[in-house]
Amino acid sequence: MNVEKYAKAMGLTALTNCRQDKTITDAYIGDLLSVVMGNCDEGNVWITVQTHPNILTVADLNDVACVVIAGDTVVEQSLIDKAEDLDVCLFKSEKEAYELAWRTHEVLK
Amino acid sequence: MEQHYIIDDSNFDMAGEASSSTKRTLTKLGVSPAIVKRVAIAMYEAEINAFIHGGGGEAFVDIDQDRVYIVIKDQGKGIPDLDLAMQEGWSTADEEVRKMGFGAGMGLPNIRKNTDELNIITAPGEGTEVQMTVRIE
Repeated sequence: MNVEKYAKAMGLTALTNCRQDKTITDAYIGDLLSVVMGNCDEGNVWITVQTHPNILTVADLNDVACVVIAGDTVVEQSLIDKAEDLDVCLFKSEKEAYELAWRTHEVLK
Repeated sequence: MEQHYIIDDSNFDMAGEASSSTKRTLTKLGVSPAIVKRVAIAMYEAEINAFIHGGGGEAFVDIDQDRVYIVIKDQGKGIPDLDLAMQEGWSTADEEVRKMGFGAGMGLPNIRKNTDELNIITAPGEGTEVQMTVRIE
């Protein structure tokens, strides 16, 4: 499943214009960047509540399919601008990380 | 191929730029994704450490057919107890840095895990130099 279909199925709010044809391989939840660096894989949906711009470097280095900001967390415009620059697909959702993960599992089945 | 980067600690939003650039270079050179990822993780962690603990510094990258050699050097306070710092979960990062998602104490363990050779030269008050080699199979 690609990012476009995934985002639609999940009801995510798109924060950036980006290439949504990347194939999703799996999902990873994490807010500690070193832990995410070591464990998140290429093509993963990365679910986090962390909104510091450094998440985009981590997303870029890991070649994630997209980043989903959980729990209706406030996202600064500077994060969105940097995501556009790096062509990182950034979404947000009012759902908490657990529910997003559960729904992701269902959608990717 | 040699590259040199300045790690400017005045703009934390830019942390990881040297690692991103090196990743793009290796990908363009056709290095396998698994090796690129190892380099990206190790270099990113060392770069972030230079930001957080070293007050910025420099990164040198030397790429040849057999290996990627990276040096991250800072003039910060140094690491008083390297054995302790190598333990997973050990961190001296302050609250502000932790709020940004750093300070998990996984930096040096991640570097060790993702490098084939690792040499850290450090002493209290004398900065830290992290020398890393990742072999290209």
